[in-house]
This record gives sequence, structure tokens and C-alpha cells, in this order.
Amino acid sequence: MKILFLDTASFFVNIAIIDGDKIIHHQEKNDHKLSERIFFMLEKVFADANIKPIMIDKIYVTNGPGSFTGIRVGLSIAKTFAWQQQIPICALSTFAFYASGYQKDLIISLPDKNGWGYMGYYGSDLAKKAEEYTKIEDFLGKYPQVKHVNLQAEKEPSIDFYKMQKIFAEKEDKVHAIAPNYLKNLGYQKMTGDQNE
Amino acid sequence: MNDKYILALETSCDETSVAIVKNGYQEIASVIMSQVNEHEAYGGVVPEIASRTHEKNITWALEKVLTDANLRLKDIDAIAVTYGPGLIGSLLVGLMVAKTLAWLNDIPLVPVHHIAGHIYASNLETKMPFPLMALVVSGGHTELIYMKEDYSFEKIGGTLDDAVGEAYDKVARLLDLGYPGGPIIDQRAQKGDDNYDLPYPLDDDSFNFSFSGLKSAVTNLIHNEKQRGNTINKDDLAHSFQKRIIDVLAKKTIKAMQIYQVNNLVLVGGVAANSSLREELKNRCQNEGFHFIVPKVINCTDNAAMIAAAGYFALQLNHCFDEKMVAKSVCELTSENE
Amino acid sequence: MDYKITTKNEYETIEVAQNLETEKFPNMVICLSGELGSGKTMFAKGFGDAMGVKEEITSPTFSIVKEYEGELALYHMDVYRLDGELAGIDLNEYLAKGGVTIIEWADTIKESLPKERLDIDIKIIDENKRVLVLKPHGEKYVDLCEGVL
Repeated sequence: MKILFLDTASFFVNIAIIDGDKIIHHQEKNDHKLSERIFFMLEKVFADANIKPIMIDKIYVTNGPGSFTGIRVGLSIAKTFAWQQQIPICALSTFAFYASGYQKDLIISLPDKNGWGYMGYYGSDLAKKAEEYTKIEDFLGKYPQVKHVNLQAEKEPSIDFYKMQKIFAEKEDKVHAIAPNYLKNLGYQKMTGDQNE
Repeated sequence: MNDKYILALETSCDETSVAIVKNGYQEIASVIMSQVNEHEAYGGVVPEIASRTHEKNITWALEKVLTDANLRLKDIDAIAVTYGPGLIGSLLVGLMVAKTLAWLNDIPLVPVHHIAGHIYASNLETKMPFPLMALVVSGGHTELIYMKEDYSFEKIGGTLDDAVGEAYDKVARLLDLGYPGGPIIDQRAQKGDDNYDLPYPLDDDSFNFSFSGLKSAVTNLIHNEKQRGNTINKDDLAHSFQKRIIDVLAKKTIKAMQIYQVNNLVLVGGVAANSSLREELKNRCQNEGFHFIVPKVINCTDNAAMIAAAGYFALQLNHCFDEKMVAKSVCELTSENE
Repeated sequence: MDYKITTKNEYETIEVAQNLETEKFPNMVICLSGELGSGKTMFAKGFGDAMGVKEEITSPTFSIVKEYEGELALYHMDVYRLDGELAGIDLNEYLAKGGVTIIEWADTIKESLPKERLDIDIKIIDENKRVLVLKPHGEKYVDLCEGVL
């Protein structure tokens, strides 16, 4: 099975292809030039893996939380890819994605501003225990025994793609209905309905 | 000659649209998913809501348009996409999807300027005659573009501040008339008379427009009348306001046509739906012996078919995507860019 | 401390903008307030032109944000239509990109504004006359005002 992972939702861009026991992974810091560079990065990873897009059997994509723009870049590309190629697609939480690199229950924070951030408490099995957009220290205060990782401060977070592959092997989302997980409540009365996934 | 099918995406504002056009003139299928309901409470489009809704709708729209056209992606020869101007977050969704399609199918990706798209909407009904003058009027744009021939653009005038649609929306808001302002003010204006003394905006020799002064004049008038304890006759105020706008638009457009020696006028953009503007320009063109072209309303508002129509010519001129090209919220329409 | 400047016509308002532009720096924020027609967009135009922006700087009311390229990037915003709910825009993203951000009707989103910024309120005295009240918040902006005004 050839699997593509795409993560552009938060502080890093991750593109990876698993081809049996071979893995090609590109990671770099996510900046506002994402939309300019994303296709360069994709092409390079495919070239390095020596496979063509048509050979991909499944796509995993992070659907947030994180930067609104980053979330949409990843989802737009992944959804189009999966739809055109008629292959299964699976949305992964940003938290689950980065938690994969640790072998324990974990809180990951994506700091936003004024001491607030996107907070995710995930198990070593990558199952969600709690997540919300809130004051960082309030969330940490609720689970004082749990290890905390501030993703913004990480230099080169390691990602365990095989672990995610294994845990989510059966998970498949409907391509047209994949909902982004923006998590932050925008305070509108009328919303598109997917603000609080 | 082989038929060329262009699939286009247009997500520059609040309508998610995908369309397929054959050989530049024949619309095969078109899907427009409008977001007016989502934005109504905000008196206009809110970028974040627009971007989210585009992302939600785009693959639906893609699938529907191919189904309606009874075509598959391998039948498509090129992808056209609006790269600007518009709401940057919204543009980005269309751009990322378009780039993905072009990449996977190994077909050209053609960037199209939104205003060029508006002008080429005319081709969906009848082939545009050249040379021509195009008056593009919408919520976000007000421009006079001279076209010597196909896909040659020269902007000869435009707004210095508010776009026409913007001015309508702001005044409608001042008068508590709701959103969008254009149709509502047009409607009320029919029932009123020119009984308010408002200035004629930027009534000079240039081909530029300026509506913020008119907007301020309306604000002052409302304020003064309130102070005097008078009620505003909204129908009359709508009429006077609209009259000033239409008058200056028509006057400068006709003058531009005379100076540039052009007999064909194309009126496009969302505000082209305004009945009074259409009527005024139709009459003035008739007086001058000019040919007046205005597409059906559905083709005047934002849609992808117009982008595909423009894309067809851009493709012939080899205007394909530069790898580094990005979505732009502001960009001028000139022949060098296109 | 506040700085008060009376301008007799729009050119003088533009001049103030141009003077401030000479001391621009990456991630600078200028928050404009004042009623419809007070000259907020005019101010932004003056600033942008001085920065070398080639395109016509027009009202961002419809699109909320317009991005331009000058010596620095210019992010010209108008939050008039957002009714105080800034949430529609990821302001922080813009403030970290190294450009200059000018926000019209910024007083409607006070809670979302950065602590360090320059507030400029424009009052209409008569048809041509304006009074600009400049309030710098943060050392960088206090220095800016002292240096320029």
C-alpha cells in the first residue's frame, strides 16, 4: 500500500509517503509562503519516493486545529486528490498527528495569542480525551500530571506515520463531507455548521 | 480542429462556482453555489465565512459540473482559475484545487484575472465585437477597460475609493434598507424623485470615479435632516443617489468611447443587473449609434463560466501558470499581466 | 501622551501619513477611527503611495482586507462591516508577516487590537478641516511620534 500524509494545518508542513517499509518524509516550518511552495514540496517528495500520484492508495490529511489558511490549503489539496483518484481519505486531528511521535498520553498546545491556544489531550492510542480553544494555563491546570508539549517551541517534531497508519487503517471519511476542525468559536450566530467538531 | 474543453473555478468572493465551456463560447455546464444567506447579517461578505464555505462546497461543485456535463476529467484540456483580485482566503481555495487538478491530470493551468472574466461573460451569449469599451461594475470593482482585440486590456479609468456596489451597500445601510444595497435602492428609486440636492461625484475630464464624497454627502444630509426633525423620504433619496451615480458612469463611459473611437460597449459585473443603469446606457448608446451589449444577469454576477470563456483565449496566448504564482487580493488588469 | 494635528485640507492629512511612513518598520500597526468621510482611506492612500505601492489604493470595506506590495507589504483593512466581531479575520497572522497594517474603524474592535500600536482618530471640523489625534501605545510608537511630529 502506498500512503500519502499531508499536514499543513499548524506550525510545520509535513508531507510523507509510505511505500511498504520505505518512507519518505519532508518536514519544514510552515510560514505564510505555504501556498507558493506546497506543490514544489509535493513534487519533490513524490520524486524522492520514486512514485507517481496515481499510485497512491490512501490519503491522510490533518484537518485542524491550527491556522485557518493552513487547514484549508491541506484539505483543498487532499480532498481534490482523493476525489479525482477515487481513493479513501482520512482526516486526522493535528493533535493526533503530532502525538503519534510520543509513546504516552500527552497534551499538545498550539499557542495563539494572549495566553490562549488550541489545547488537545490525547492518549498514546491517539484517541481524543479533551480538546478546546482556551486559556493555556487553565487547560494545563485541569490535567497537571500529563506531559505537555508546546508545538510552537518544538524544533523537529518526530511523527510516527506507521503508528497512525496502523491505528486508523479502517478509518475513512466521505470526501465531500470532511469537516475542518477549526475549534475556535468565531462568535457568529449563523455559521456553516462545522465550527465545533 | 479538436474541441477544447476548459474547466474553470471561480472562488474570488462569495460564490463557489465551477463550469465547463467548450471552445470558449459554449457553456456546457455550470454550478454556482451562492453564500448570500451566510453573509446577510454582516451587510456583506465576511472573508473567513466565505473561505470556509468555499472549502466545504468545492468538491461537490466539481463533481456536479462533470456529472451535468457528462464528461470526465480526462476529457478536459485545461483548468482555468481566478487568481485575483478578490478575497485572498477565498481565492486560495480555488487556486489549490485548480493546481491539484492540473498537476494530477498533467494539463495546463491558466490563471485568469477576475475582471477579464467578467468581460468575457459576454462571449457566452454572443461573440464580442472589437474594439470595445467595457464598463465593469460590481461590489468590489468599478473599471473602464478598453479592448482593442481579444485578450488585450487597457484600464483607462476606475474608482479612486469605493466601488459602485460598495457605495450602494453603504448607503443602503445608512438608510436601513438591508443587503445587498443595489437591488433595494434600485427598487426604491423607481418610486421616488430627484428631490435631494446631492453632489455629482468627480464630475471632471478624467475617466476615474469617486463615490466616497457622495456617500459622505448622504451621511451629512441624513444627519442634518434629523437635526431639523424632518423624516427622510427614502424613495426620493434612493432616486437622487442613484441618479448621480448612473449619470457619471454613463457620461464618462460614452465620452471614453468617443475619445477611443469605439462603437461597442459591454456592461458587466454584478451591478450590471441594475435596471436603471442598463436603461440609461442603452438609451445613450442608441443616441450615439453605439452597439450596447449586456449579458443576462446570471452571467453578470460572479461565475466560473466567464472564467472558462476568458481562459480559452488566455490559453491560446500561452498564459499558463508560473509555478510561483499566488492568489492576489489586488491586481491590475493589463495586457502584460495577462 | 496624545498628539493633536489640525489639517486644513486632505493634502495636509496625506502629509501626516507620509511623514509617519518615513519611520515605518515591519509589523507596524496603525489604527484609524473617525466617521464616514473623515478621511481614513485618504490617509491609507497617502501612506501607501509614500511606500511605493503602485496600484490604486481603494476602499477595503467590501473585501475587508486588501494586500499591496510596497517597500513593505501593506495590509489595508476595514472592519466597518464586521460589527465588532473581528473573529472573521486572523489579525495575528497579518501582524506577524513583516508588513504595515492599517485598520479603518479599528475602534470597533478595540479588544482584539495589539497592545502596541498607533491610534489615530480623525475628527471632522468642517468640509475641509480635520483634527487628527494620535495616541501611541508602546515605546516603539512613542518614539515614532516623537521623531516624526
